[in-house]
Parts: sequence; C-alpha cells; structure tokens
Amino acid sequence: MPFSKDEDRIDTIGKCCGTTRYVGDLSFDNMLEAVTVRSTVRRGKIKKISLPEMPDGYFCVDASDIPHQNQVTYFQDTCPYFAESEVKYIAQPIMLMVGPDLRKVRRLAQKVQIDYEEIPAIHTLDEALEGTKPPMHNDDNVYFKEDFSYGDIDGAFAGSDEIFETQTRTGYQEHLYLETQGVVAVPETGKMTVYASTQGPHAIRKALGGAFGCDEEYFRIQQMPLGGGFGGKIETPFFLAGHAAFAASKCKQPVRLIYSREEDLLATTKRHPSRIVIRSALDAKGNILGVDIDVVFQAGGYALSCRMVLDTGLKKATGVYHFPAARVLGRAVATNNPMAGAYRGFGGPQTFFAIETHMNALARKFKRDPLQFKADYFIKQGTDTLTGGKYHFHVALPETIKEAARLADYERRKKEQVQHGPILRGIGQALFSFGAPFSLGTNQPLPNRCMGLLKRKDGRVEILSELVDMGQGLHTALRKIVARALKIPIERIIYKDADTDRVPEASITGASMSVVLFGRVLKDAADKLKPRLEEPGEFSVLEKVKQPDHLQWDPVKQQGDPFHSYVWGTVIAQVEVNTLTWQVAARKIWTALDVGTPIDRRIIKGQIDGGTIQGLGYSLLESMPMDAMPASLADYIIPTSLDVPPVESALIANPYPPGPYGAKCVGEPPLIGVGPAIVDAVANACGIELFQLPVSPEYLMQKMANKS
Amino acid sequence: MTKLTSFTLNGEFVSTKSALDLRLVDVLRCEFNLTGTKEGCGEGECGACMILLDGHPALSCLMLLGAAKDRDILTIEGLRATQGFAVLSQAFNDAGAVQCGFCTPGMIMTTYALLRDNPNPDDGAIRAAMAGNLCRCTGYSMIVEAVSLAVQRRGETW
Ligand code: FES
Ligand code: FES
Repeated sequence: MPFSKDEDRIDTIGKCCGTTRYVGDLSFDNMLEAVTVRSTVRRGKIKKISLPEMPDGYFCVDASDIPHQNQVTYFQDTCPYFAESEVKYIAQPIMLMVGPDLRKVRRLAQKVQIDYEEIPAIHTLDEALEGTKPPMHNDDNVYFKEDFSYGDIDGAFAGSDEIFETQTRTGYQEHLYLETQGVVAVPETGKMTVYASTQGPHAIRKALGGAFGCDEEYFRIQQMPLGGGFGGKIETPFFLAGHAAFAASKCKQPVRLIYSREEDLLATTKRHPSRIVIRSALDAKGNILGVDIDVVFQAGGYALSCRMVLDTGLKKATGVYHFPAARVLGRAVATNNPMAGAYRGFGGPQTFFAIETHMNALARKFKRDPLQFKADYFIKQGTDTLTGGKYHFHVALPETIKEAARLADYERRKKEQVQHGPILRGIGQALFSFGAPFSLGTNQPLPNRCMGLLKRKDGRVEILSELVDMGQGLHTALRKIVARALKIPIERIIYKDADTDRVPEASITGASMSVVLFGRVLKDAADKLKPRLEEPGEFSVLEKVKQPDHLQWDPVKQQGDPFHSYVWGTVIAQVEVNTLTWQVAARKIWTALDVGTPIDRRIIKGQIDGGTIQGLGYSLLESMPMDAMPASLADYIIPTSLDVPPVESALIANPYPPGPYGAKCVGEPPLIGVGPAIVDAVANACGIELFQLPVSPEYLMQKMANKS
Repeated sequence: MTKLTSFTLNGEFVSTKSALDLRLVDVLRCEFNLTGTKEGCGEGECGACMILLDGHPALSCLMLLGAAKDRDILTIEGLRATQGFAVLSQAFNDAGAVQCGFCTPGMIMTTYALLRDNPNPDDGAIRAAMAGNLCRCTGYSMIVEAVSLAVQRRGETW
C-alpha cells in the first residue's frame, strides 16, 4: 500500500486557534455592509417599490445597476441576479441595501415597501405536473426531461405475471454548512477583487465577466477557507458575488455581504425533493423481467443545475443491478418553492433510496433473504451500463457486503429478539454504487483546462490548482499524491487557497472529481517535474486535464460510459423504534466502502463518519414542508452529538488503475446508502413497508395506524 | 454622556463606549478584532460563538454588551496561550477532529471547561457537554475521540 501514514493537515492548527480567516472575518477600510431585500411572496408581479428616505452614504442597488446583463451566465436557463418584474419564490433577491452601519442597513432594508400582484403559486411537484395552476415554465412546468432504456421493456411487462409498484418520496435537505454564505467585493484600480466562500472561483470570475460585459480578467476571485460546502457553495455564491460586485462598482467602496442564518435557510439551494415510482414486471416465480422507473425531481423558481443533478441521479437509478430490461424516465419540474441545487450525492440519494426500498420490499414480499434476492441481479465487471457502456473494472460489491455483514454480525443480529417493552429493534441494509466523475464527450476535444506545479527557488513545490478544500481534506490528499510522485517530504509541497490571478481554471470542486481525476493530472505533472527538480530557479509544469483511456462517451446520444469509475458500498443500520412516541433512534451503523486505494485513512474516516451522519439526519430528522423553509435553526433539526450512533467502517482495497495510485472518490458515497438502510431497518422492526424520507414520528404513526 | 462598559477580556481590563445593546459577539469580532469567535446562527442554536463567561461556557450571540459589565470573558484568543489549549488542539489534530473548522473554536471552549470541571468524563459526559455545539462535517465521533485523547494526556495541565 503506498500510503501507510496519515498526514497531519496544515489547516488544523489555525482552525483550532481561531486564526484562520473566513470571509466573514475580513474587513477593509471604508467597507460597506450589504443586506438583501427579498420577495415576501411566492409568486407575483412587482407592482411598485417604495424606498425609505435614504441617509447620506446609504445606497440601494438593483437590476438597473448591473452593467451588462441581469443573468447568471453559468446557467443555461434563465436566472436573474435581481428580480425585475416578477418573483418566483419567497426570498428571491430584489435589491441590495448598502451602507456603513449594518444595523441601519438592516432597518432600511426592512422599510422597503413592495407591492405585488400575486399569481396562484405552484406548491408541490404534483401540482406542477397536474397543471391546475398557471404554468411557470413552458406549458408543462418541465425544466428538463430525459430517458434511458435497454432490453425489451414493453415485452417484459406484456409477458409478466405480476407487476409490483412502489412510490417513494424524499423531502428537502438543507446543507447547513456551519459558515453561512458570504463574499466581500473590493474595487481596486483597474480591477476588482472578490473574496468568496465558494466551491468554484473561476466559475464566479466567468459569471461576473458575463454580468459586467467585460473581460473576466478584470476580476480576481480569492477563495477563502470554507466553513463547509457539501455542494451548497456552488450555485448560491454566484448571486452573492454578483450582488456585492454590483454594489462595490456603484459605491466605489468595498462591500461585505454575509447572510444571516435565517436568510441562508430561506434563500439558498437545498437537495431536490423527489417522487419516484418503480414498477417491476415479475414472472410467476417472482423473478424480475424488467423495471420501469419514473423519476420526478422538484426544482424551484429557477432551474439552476437541475439538469445535471437529475441526469446524474437517473444514470444511477437502476442501482447496483442489471435487469433483463429497464427504462428510466426523469423530469425536473418548476415550482414556486425554495430553489434546489447541488448537494453531496447529486441526485443519487433520491434514486438509490427508491431502488433499494423497492428491492428490499420485494424481498420481504417473497420472504426471501434480501441480500440473496438482490444478488441475482448484481452488476459485474463487463456488465452493460444503463447507457450501453461497460463496467470496465472489478466490481467489489460482494466484498463490501461480506465485510459489512461481518462487522455488523448481521446474520446473528437479524434473528435477535425484536421487542423489549415498548421498543422494537430492527436491522436493515442497503447497497449502493457511486459513479464519478461524470464523463465528457470522448469524440470531441475537452475544454482546455489544466493544473500545474510551480517549482520555487527554495526547492518547494506549489500546487497550482483552483480546487477547494472545504474541510474535506482535499489539499492534504493532493499534497500527499504529489509528494509521493516527486519522492520528497510532504512539508515541501505547498497548496494555497485559490486566487484566480495565480492558478489556472480547472473545475468547480464537486461531483467527486478532485482526487480521482485531478489527482491523476497532478501525479502526471509531478512525474514530468521529477527529473527537473534539481534545476535552479523558478519554473512551472502545466498538465492538461484529460479523461482516462478506457472511456467512451457520446454526449449527444447519451451513449457509452457515463462515469469514469465506481465506488461500491454496503450500509447496515440497526434502529430502535419507540412505540410510545414513534421516534426512531439509530443504534449503530456499519459501512464497508470500496474507495480504491485509500490516500489517507484518517481523512477518509472523517468523510465516512460525516457523510453517514448527514445521511442519518436526512433519514430521520431533517424535515421541512415540501413548499417552505424554516426561518430558524430551532425549526430545522440536524443531528447533535447526542443523536448520533457509533459508525464503524471498513475499506475494501480495489485499486482503480487510471486513478492516482489507484484511488477513487470518497466524499459523496458514504451518504447514499444510509436512507434506504434506515428505512429497511424500521420496516423490519415494525413489520410494515415505508416509502418516505425522513421517517418522522408522524409518518410512522400514521403507517402503523393503517396497519392495525 | 458616553457610557463606558468595562470588563476583563482574555485577562486584560478593557473598556468600550459602544452601545450597550450591541451583541457581545459583534463587539468581540468587530471592535476587538477577535474573529476566532464565530457566528453560525445568531440564535443560540449552534455553539460557534461559545466563550467562557466567568469561566463558564456562554453563547456570545445571545449576550448584549451590557451584560458583560464587570465580568470575566475568555475567547479562543485568550485560551490559546494556555497549556490546556495545547493539549486539546494536539488531540483535535491527532484524532482528525477538524474539517472545515468553523465549529472548532467553540468546541474547544466547551471542552476546555468540561475537562476543567470533570477531569475524567466518559463518552456520554463528553457528548452531553458538546450537545450545544453543532458540527456538520465530522459526525462528532472524531471530536469525542479527541476529547478522550486529551483526557488521557492532560496530566495536571489544567
Ligand atoms: S452563533 Fe451563537 S449559538 Fe450559533
Ligand atoms: S468541522 Fe465543519 S462544522 Fe465542525
């Protein structure tokens, strides 16, 4: 194993001491504070805006202050920085109030009077599809639609003896990074610097260039240390960066825009709620002949990245299985609800919840052992993907099942006495895979993206990359890879937070690309630098981003290998259900994960623990209505230290040859299987089927009442 | 007439003319530049703004400046000169208890006070003490492990 030692993270000490400067800790001379004025209605036309009397030195900034276009150009669908004539969701930004004293700015913002002509709003994905309200996108409210299939699916249903159908639903999930969104924009001579808590510095620079109608190099984006991201600092920061930059350019002073927690809950993106219907065509013996999957993701007032999230979720919708035939249809629909966007798992938590819940329910229906029942359909090396590509490398799913079952003593615990007084105990499992990174077309040139290494005069080597460490330990992992390739101590490898003036564009940090794809690019750069390490002076080696050789992907036909690599995993969960309160407590969670070659076990454990507990919150606690957002943390409960069970995990070594030293990704997968495993455990404890996340006491009580 | 509010801040006697109804977290961060104290929610739910008030954990986002009068306030900037901090931060490092780090100063303030008052807390006592400090990154176990490590290593430190 090439990486036997866990490396200390250089960011730890500053974070313990409180000396790490997050964006909210910055301040500049003459800095103004900004507060966003937001829509208070869900859907309507803006009739009239009345401003309060503005004291000297206080400004308001709205769409008319945008130099070029009121559109976040990162998105291909309409997405304005500020609402002009109509609003489509509660908390949509309309203008900014700016001035030196934050308390005064807040009071002024509250005094802005906006009159609306309200339009009947679309509250749920069901309403969006029913068409009972005036449509808000085309005439069907569908932002994006896509389908995949293989085999003779119609034949499978025509020849079936029985059809088994499940409908699962999942709700919103808020990222709840502990640091709320924030940026500071500082105008300088001939330039503007934007300090941002973002997962994509270069993407922000591009978007600002689009809004200002100027060369993007006018802007310098300095990424600040992130107080958590989880996908939530991809889309929302475009808005903050734009808003603060428009204000700074109007006022010619630095402008700081930091969201309060209330705003952050109300106005930022969440995980897409979903409704997924799965129908299996069965023969007389209960064998699956074909599976038909209908996925609906609820997007908000604007599409944002729903195309990509839905697309990725759909490509994972058949789970770890290859059926004789399958069809997957997906739609992302417009509603007047909080905006949904990227979130750890990227569509996978919803579709895996659906397929695993379906398969587990089928196994119970036929009184089969679920792991044996599911094994008949497992993907293996060489199996076709949903999109007609191949699983090129070893599929370590069976090894993860064996290891998780061993850790959990699954066979014994399954048979354990299930009732202790009012407590019902149950154990459940879920299997998952995680394809990443998503493929770009292999029949056309890739966009020109690169990463680099700068050999400095003092002999140290700096990684030139815009990839963001949002707490997941990425910088340490990449430093380890480069140090290994150069055969020099890790202390000699430097990795600074991204400054777009210094580092080339590579990618937004997300979609689990960073280690498996970009780690490989850096390793290749290091291999080139190695023979030149002793050369004097300062020079850099740039390496272009390229996809692995085995990949075939046709983006027009959506044919081929949708993802570069696959992580395989098994989650087993044991729960206790209190039949007096219908509260569910997880007692223990076991996870076995194939992450290829582990780069740093301590960092990986942090990702597995954290992802599992975020998944546990999604499964049991993190409940909000489908159409509204709580305005306070007191109303959105995430796990505390008292709510979390022990998480025991094991890694299966299954090196992925094109990855750096065989590594795959690790940040997103641990969350995926938790929901279905918890639901399976509750179903086993209570002797019913459950189809909804989170499993709230209300939902469970209602289900149990129906049972008796 | 300007009113002066005086209190002890990280061992030094300080005074300020600021309005008494400012939140203490803002006074610490903006006026005294002590940005190690974080604001995660501003509503008493997350613990990122934890300070020690007369030695006891307190949420500076829920305190107004007026309430600090004549009290003894310790922030992470004051704590970091102590031996106890050195033991705790080393343990946080070794256990991998720090990811994004936004919860970390608050966690350290809370666990420092815990270990001072209870030299040998078990897992349950550590979790109970930390229940007011949210962490979204770690799932808590590695933080609990860090505190247990500090318990083993603390000796007579504090
Ligand atoms: S900021 Fe004070 S408790 Fe969250
Ligand atoms: S380390 Fe990120 S919130 Fe605790």
